Amino acid sequence: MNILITVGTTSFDKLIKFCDLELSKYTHFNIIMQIAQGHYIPKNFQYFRFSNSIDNYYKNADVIICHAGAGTIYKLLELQKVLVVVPNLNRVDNHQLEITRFLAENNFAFCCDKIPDLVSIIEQELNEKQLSQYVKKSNTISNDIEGYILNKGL
Amino acid sequence: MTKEKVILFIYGVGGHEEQMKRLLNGFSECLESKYKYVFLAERGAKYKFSSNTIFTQELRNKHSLLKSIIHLPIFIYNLLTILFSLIRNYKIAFIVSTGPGLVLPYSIFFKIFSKTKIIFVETWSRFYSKSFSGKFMYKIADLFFIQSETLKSVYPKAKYSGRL
Repeated sequence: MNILITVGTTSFDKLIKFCDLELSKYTHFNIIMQIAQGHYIPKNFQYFRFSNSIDNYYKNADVIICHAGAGTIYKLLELQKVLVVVPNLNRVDNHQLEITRFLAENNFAFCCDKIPDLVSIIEQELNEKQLSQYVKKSNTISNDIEGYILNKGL
Repeated sequence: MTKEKVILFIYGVGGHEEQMKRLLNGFSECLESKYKYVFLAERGAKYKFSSNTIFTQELRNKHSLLKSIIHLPIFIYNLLTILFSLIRNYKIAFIVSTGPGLVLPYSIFFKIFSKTKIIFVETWSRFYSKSFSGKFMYKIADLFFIQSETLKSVYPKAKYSGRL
């Protein structure tokens, strides 16, 4: 199974370190790590900081373990990927908890509030639990803004 | 010299620029033909949507409150320099932003001194509580969007038009 671990644009050393140390025992996993500007350097797995062809990594992954960044999450859900979402709490505010809660409540992804829980999610839930499909609905935000501006026109 | 009518787009690193990208994709050529687009972004943003882009320091450091405080004087200096340059060259008719906090001082200034209309889109990562910039922008925005219906109770006067 191909697993991509991605932390987006901000470092998430705690997640990378845990995965590097705890997931190496799963020999049937083919793991690649995207670590951004993280200080922890993985010893057991292939890694990169950023990539212009990150979409290829997304495409090839069977499961993606990701930080709870909304941009990453929506993009991956729209690609219908199986996600294990881990909120990064080393930020000035804990806003990543909100989208994690949203995903858990709607069963759109596997949610991992505490990093050590990753093990049980990978060993059990991934095989047993069925997720609900996220369907992207269209929005009219740009249209509404444009309409507003053209109406107000100075 | 008649100053060009401008829409000032303000965005930041990460989700903020992803949302700005999606937002811009949804505008028609009609809008760009009537208004010049000028962009103000946090340094470190990977997208540059046009050559009229000013990169500047973030308002808040995302990892350390202490750093935010230490960098504040430099932020204020940059703010004044950029404001001066914007006022000199443009008529800012609208500010459109997807956050982050960088949008605040510019919005406050232009709303007070320039009758600029402020349009703000609360971030797609919020479902149950206000973001830092949303909290303040809700009070001054002329048009305020939320991207989850769960925020209706938090921002009663906001407009919900789906998610970017």
